[in-house]
Formats: sequence, C-alpha cells, structure tokens
Amino acid sequence: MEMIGHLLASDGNKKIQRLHVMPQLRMAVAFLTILLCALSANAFFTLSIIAVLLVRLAAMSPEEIAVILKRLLLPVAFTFLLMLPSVFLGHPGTMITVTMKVFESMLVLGILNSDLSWKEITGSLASFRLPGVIVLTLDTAVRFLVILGRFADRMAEAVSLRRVGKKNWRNAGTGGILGTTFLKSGQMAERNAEAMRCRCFAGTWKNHSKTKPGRADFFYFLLIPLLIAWYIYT
Amino acid sequence: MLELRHVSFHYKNTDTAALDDISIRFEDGRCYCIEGPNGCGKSTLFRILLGLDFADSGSYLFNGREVTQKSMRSEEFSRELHRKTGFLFQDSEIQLFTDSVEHEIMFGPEQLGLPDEEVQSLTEKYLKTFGLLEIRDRAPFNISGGEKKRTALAAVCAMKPEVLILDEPLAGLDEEGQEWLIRFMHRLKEQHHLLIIATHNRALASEMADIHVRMDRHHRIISVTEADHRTPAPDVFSGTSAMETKF
Repeated sequence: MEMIGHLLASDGNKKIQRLHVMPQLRMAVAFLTILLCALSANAFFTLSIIAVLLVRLAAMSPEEIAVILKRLLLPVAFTFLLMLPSVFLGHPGTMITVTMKVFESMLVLGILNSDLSWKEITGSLASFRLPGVIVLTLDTAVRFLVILGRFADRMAEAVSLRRVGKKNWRNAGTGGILGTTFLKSGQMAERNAEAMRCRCFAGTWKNHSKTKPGRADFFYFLLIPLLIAWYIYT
Repeated sequence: MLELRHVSFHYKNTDTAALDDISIRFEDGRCYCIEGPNGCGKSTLFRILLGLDFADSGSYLFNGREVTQKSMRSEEFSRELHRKTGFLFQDSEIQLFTDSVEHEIMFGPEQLGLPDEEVQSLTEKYLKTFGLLEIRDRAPFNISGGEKKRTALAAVCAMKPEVLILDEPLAGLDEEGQEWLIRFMHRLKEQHHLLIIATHNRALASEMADIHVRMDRHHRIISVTEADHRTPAPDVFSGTSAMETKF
C-alpha cells in the first residue's frame, strides 16, 4: 500500500521535478551511472559517484531522504549478508565493492523514482523507440496495480472488521482476498479490453509525451561524456 | 436505427437464458429507459447492442445491417458500429485506460484516424464542455468518482456517437453531478440523439424516458410504453455549475 500511495502522490499533475530536465535524459544518465559502476573494477570510481549522489540526496527534504534510505536498507543489508562469507575466504574487498555497488544502484533508482512520476517514466520510454502500445500497456499495468491494491485493501479492512472472537479472520481471509483479487483482475482486464474495442481501438496508440530540450537538458546531457571520461580516467 | 428481432441469448455453460425472445426497435432521437430487477438481462442486452456478444437466435440490426460475429469481423463495420454507439459503463473507472484525462479524450478520435489538429481541437472542446480543463494532466484513476464519470462521458462523446447507451448513469454521483448529468442528457435529447438508459432510479426514468421498457426476472421484455407524462427539464442547474452542457 505504501507503493500505491507513492504512485498516487506522484500523479503527473504535480510538478515533482526540481530541475526541468527531460525524463528520458534523466533515465539515460541513471542507466549509464549504474552500468559504469557495475563495470568498474576501481572502487574509487564507485566511491566518487556515491559521494556525488549523497550530495544530491542531501539537497532533498528529510521525508524524501527517509523514504529513499528506508528502501535502500533491505537490499544493501541482504547483499552484505550474502557477501559476508567472502571475508572468511580472504576477500574482504569483494564484499565491500559489491555492497557499495548495490548501494549506489539503489540510490540512483531511489533518487530517480523520487524525482519522476510513473507517468513521466513510462512516457519517456517512447523516446527509446518503444511502440506506443507497449507504453500504454505499462501504464495500464500500473493503473491496475493501484486499482487492485485499493480493492484488496478494502477487502482486508472488511475482513478485519469481521474479526471477532477467537478465530483469526485475518489469516483465514488472506487466501480469500488473494483469490478474489485475482478473479477481479481477470474481469477488469476483460472489461478494459471491451471498453477499448468500444472506442475503436485499432491496435496502435500514439505516445503524446513529447518534451522539447531546454538549456538545463544541455547541461544535464554533458554528464554523459563527463561520466564516461571519469570512468576511463579512474 | 437499432432493432432486435426475437433475440435470445445464453451464456456459455448455463442452461438459463440471459435474454429470452427480445424484440424491440430503438428509434432515433428518443430516450428509452430500461427498467427491471437485478439480473434481468439489461447488461447482456447492452453487450449485444454494442456487438460484444451475439444472439444465439434472432437478429440484431444496426442501420438495417445485421450484426453478427461475421459482420463484426469487418473492420469497417465494427468501427462504424462502435463510433456511432457510445457506451458509458456503470463503473466508469474500468473504461479509462490512458495515462491522463486529456489522452483519454484523445484516444477515440485518434483511433478514428482524424488529423492531429482536429483531434486537438476536439479534445480542447470536450475538456471545456465537461469541466475537465483543470484536471487534464491528472491520471484518470486518481480523480473523484464524478470526474471519472465526466471523463468517461467526454471520451465517449468525443467520438460523436449518434446513440448513447448509459448503464446506471447516476450511480456514484453526488447531487451536483447528478443534476449536471441529467441536464446533459436533456441536451442530448434536444439534439436528437438516441439514448438508451438502464436504471433502477424511477425519478430518472420518469424524468428522461420517452419510452419505458420493462424487463422481468425471466429475461423478457414485459412492456414497452410511451411515457404519458414528461416533466420539463429541471431548472435547478442555472448558476449552480460552471460546466457547460453544449455537446
């Protein structure tokens, strides 16, 4: 439900972006950062990127920082535990490097997710030559997640309201909630397809998320050669 | 314009009929209110009228041409049927599928292959008409029930249908939304659109109907009667809503 809440809060009407940079450019830079860090054999490169990202993180509101760090915690801790045996095998550096890379990747994604709404993310996919109908499918999938999430939440509330006496309705109701949500998703998909047919859906959909590059985009674009140059240098 | 002749329909794996020997002719420029208990077959009737399901026996004629599984395979024919018959679901949320209110309205005209300028001007017109300008960039799943209903209706109307099929149109609307929608439906009637409304709301039926169609639990039409008394459009809307009702 936390994720659904985030999706709702990041509705496209709200201008979440602090810098007016094209979402596709942000995604490209984020992807490149993750890729270069993954390829890098030099810990200094990863550390320098983390340092820049932490500066960026510090510029965000405390609530946003808390959300991003909370999401980081589990994958980083999991990687740390997974890599722990390498210390006993005499390769402590491996554990630190891999954990750092996971931390960096999650931080990049967290900041990106905080800066862009889901609409901007799916919309920007069209710039990567993805057909409009795929973007529409992704949008529909996100929308269904939200609607079904609400539906399941309402059912869970209804079950907890009926939870009286010794019988644990919460446990007994979980299977029912999952099953009903699954059936509901099938019905919704069917109705949705019919609604599209009723509006003459011909199998194609033009993506309308068009943005014109501005001055900020130019400066942001410079990050790409800079990152590559820094990667080669280090 | 739409005519059903002795239409019967069964859902797969069931013995009971969902529609039993239905015969009715829906004339242009009139408003038909279909009333009956839950499960009497109103939704099934609508699915047949929209070419989503097909009669087991009998025939359904759209502009004199029979609607069958075979005829609906013709892209030209199915497109004509769906362009001319707009459908508003009872739960509007399910019929909204794009990423913003604006794109939702654009969807139909674009699918019809209209030029970009025309699509844009139609979209602006319907955003304004339905009072959706302020929420044009919002995701349709994240707006209120009334706004969803207006968005769905705007999206349907942007295709300029001649027939509007409305399933419980007032469901989930607050008083102001209901008043607006009733006024809007009156405007459609004045413009000689064919309206087919399924409703349990007797006040709405007596307000809107030219013809009352009553169905029973046995999935049959038991009466088709001309409305003998029609009240004029209520004047309660003047000045209560900033939304226009021109269509």
